[in-house]
Amino acid sequence: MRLSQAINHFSKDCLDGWNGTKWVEKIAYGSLLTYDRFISARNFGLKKRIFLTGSDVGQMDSFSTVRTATGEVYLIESKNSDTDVCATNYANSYQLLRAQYQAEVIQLDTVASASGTPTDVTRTVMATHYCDLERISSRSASADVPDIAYSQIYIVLPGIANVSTDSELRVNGILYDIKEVERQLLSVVCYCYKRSGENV
Amino acid sequence: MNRNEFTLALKSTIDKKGVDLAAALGVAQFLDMDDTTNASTILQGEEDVIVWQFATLDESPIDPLYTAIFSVGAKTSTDASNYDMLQFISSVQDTFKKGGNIPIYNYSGTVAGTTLGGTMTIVQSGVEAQEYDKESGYRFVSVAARVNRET
Repeated sequence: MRLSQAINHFSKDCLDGWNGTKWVEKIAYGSLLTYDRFISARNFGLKKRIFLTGSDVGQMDSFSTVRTATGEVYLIESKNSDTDVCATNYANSYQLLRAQYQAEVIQLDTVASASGTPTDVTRTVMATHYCDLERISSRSASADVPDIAYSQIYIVLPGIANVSTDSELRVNGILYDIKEVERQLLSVVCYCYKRSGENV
Repeated sequence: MNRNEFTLALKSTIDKKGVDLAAALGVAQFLDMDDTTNASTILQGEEDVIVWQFATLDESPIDPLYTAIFSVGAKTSTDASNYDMLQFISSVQDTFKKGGNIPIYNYSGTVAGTTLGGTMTIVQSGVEAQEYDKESGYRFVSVAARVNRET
């Protein structure tokens, strides 16, 4: 029995793909594997899935955000292709990250003053993406006001997101200033500070 | 010039001098280090930047006479022998040289003000020791000026 036949036999789970404005149904069939069979203080296992397809990946490579039949939204983080001894691709595994939030990408625009320096900051929403958000460290204390601390957050966006350290992200009404942008295989990780502080 | 816009006009005048200096040196940015909107984004990059920081503005002895203290300098990153840094510092010293007079106008709006707000006379200008922040070096010229507001 060929390896690809075995993979295709179990490819019964269907995914929809987000094209930026609507869901495109049934873009690919594969096996959606579980990943969270352990308990720890870290929750990454609870957010990840492996989607295993045969050699026919459907339209998986045309989308960065997908949805399961139960309505769960995931970002595609990476793709690995398996080949047999004849270098023929027989399976592909996609690592998916649960995206429970939506982030607005905000561009800060300024006007040049007569001195040549920028002034009059305005915010413009450039795009909205599904995202994952997680706090990566304990709150960072204010340098001058000991009762105030600022949360450090990382937000994972789909690879098509156009962001830079000049951008902000808004998730659930909260503004985050992007400090660092790291482009990974098929996703973008933004390390951010919350714009507003919190009482310690 | 009204007293309630004079400090802003002074700050914007220093901005204008610095922007013109940066353009003449071919440096991409002239940055106020107290600018919470732009500072971190620009300073974390590897490009050379002309930087400055407004320290104090004291009535001396009383309005319309003031003493202003501020620092103007540069940040460099990949700078073998530190020659770029010292070239920038030389130019900063020349722009804000002791005995120099700088007219004050309000450049904070989109159109430059045309009413003379006052005059700044540099009375002290000295190069400070270099500081470091991870991969970058910073060096400043400490400037003290006597300022009079036009009434």
